[in-house]
Amino acid sequence: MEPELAVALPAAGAACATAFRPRPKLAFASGAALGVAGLVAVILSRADLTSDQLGILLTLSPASRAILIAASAALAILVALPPPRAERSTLLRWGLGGLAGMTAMAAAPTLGVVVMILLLLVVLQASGAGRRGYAIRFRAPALAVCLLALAIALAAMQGPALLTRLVVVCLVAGLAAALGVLPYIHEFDPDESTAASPIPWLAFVGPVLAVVVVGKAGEMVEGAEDAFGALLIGLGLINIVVATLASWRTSSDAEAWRYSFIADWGLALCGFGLVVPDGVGAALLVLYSILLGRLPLYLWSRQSLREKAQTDRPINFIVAAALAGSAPFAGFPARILLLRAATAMYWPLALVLALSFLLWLPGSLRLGRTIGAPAGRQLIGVAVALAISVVFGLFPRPLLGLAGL
Amino acid sequence: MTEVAAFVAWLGAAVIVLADSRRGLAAGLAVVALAAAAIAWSQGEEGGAIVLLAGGVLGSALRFTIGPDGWGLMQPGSTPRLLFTIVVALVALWVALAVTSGPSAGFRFTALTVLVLLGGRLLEAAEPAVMLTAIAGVALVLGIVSGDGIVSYTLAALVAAGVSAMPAPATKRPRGT
Repeated sequence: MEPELAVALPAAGAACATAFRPRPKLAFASGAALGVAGLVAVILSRADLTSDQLGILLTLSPASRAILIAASAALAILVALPPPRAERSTLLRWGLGGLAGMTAMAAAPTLGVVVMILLLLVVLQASGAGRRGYAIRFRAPALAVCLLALAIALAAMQGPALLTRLVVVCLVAGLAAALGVLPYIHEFDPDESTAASPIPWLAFVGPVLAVVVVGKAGEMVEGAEDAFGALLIGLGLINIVVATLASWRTSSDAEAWRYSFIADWGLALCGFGLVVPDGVGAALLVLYSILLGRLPLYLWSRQSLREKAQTDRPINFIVAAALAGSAPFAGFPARILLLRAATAMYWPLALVLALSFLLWLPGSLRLGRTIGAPAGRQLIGVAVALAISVVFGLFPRPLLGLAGL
Repeated sequence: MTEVAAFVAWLGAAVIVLADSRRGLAAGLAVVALAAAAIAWSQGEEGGAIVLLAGGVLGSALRFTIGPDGWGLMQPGSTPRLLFTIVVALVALWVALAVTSGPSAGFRFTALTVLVLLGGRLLEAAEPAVMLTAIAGVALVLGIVSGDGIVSYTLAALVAAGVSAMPAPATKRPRGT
């Protein structure tokens, strides 16, 4: 199936869900039908098949297609088992809008087109109602657009080797600013709706954007691949250390969740920086676990975060174990692959990473408690997320195969 | 031609940096669109130039109708911004002429000066109309640097016009997750 359909169907779903807002059931039905059709189109689209039906060459790489499928599945789980106080049609509207943009970014022929689509997503997200001021919501992702655009402009010029290094810096800084990781953490309001908060950049749009930017960066950083990898690893390590400590020590539980996303991104950045297949595989597994584990668990914990309910039941410890990346959950094979890649590249890095993995424990125990005592739909959702994480942890090979590794 | 276009691009971006109201912002965006179209034309992309100009002018017309009233050019306290426009122009001129090679010097100067000026404006501004105008200007420059032919020019034009049509939302407290 052609990538055009994979872009158009979720976009049409988001448009229908928006147009029929006064009639939530109709909005949900039309959005869900088109969203499911879009998911089928992504699944059936062949990776690396180029299509030019619209006069523009569209290709889905295996890695970006795999992450898109995971993002679609995450959206489907959240819409099927919505968190308390969340409207299904609203979740679907925002989710399908994001998914259409993510698919367009994944299929775009060049980084320039990707950045223009990112720009549209930035403007659309900022246009929603949020508790933070418009300028605060807009500034960091818009800075990312400018930095990535500057990288493209510099890459189009010839000059000394320093110029390619500048391209590397702009690319990595732009990616960090778009995701909202250190050193460009977006301002966070715990009471803001998730769609308007920085969480979609960290946990929904971010994974696809990172795969696309890293995938397309290769030809732009020719001659400075080592610097690109080193910068990603350095940024990854800083994010791991700072965010795991912050997730443990910060006063607000919602902030702790946000820092836990950033810590996971540290792992993913390290994986992308270690250019060997094991490193990239580790990064992709971390992104799967963000999309299908950490994001749904965060959304289902929002109600107990509001009520400040904390419990020490077995389910809380199981969730903590999943968030900490212990066996048999999805984070475990990701960490093993990362250690293997680091050992192959430079063994002291593996030592540093192994020590840093311990830092996940106190923060994860804290986050596990914030799930509260899930019941009903929330309990089913938590069970589904944990089951998916166990399956990914025990059988990571099919997932890596889906991403072409 | 590209040298003139590059100067015009700097002028347009400088007006966006120095303006705080809709008329000044619209004028700046129109000038950036004109310069971007001229650069595209000089690269042999006549169709792309026309599309880019149309998108930029439409965006400028929309900006003329949305935002704080007046020109708002060089309001009190804008001296640092004026210095910023001059310093960025000098540094970009040095980089474009002495440090880099490749596409024409005018193209290199335009890309650097507009992206840095409008990026700086985005970091400093608090008014939605200003931020949306700056990002529309960035989209126009992305159109000429991304190198996808008519596709990137068309997308840039659509983005510039679409962004300028966005109303700035009122900040309110939503309910729900």
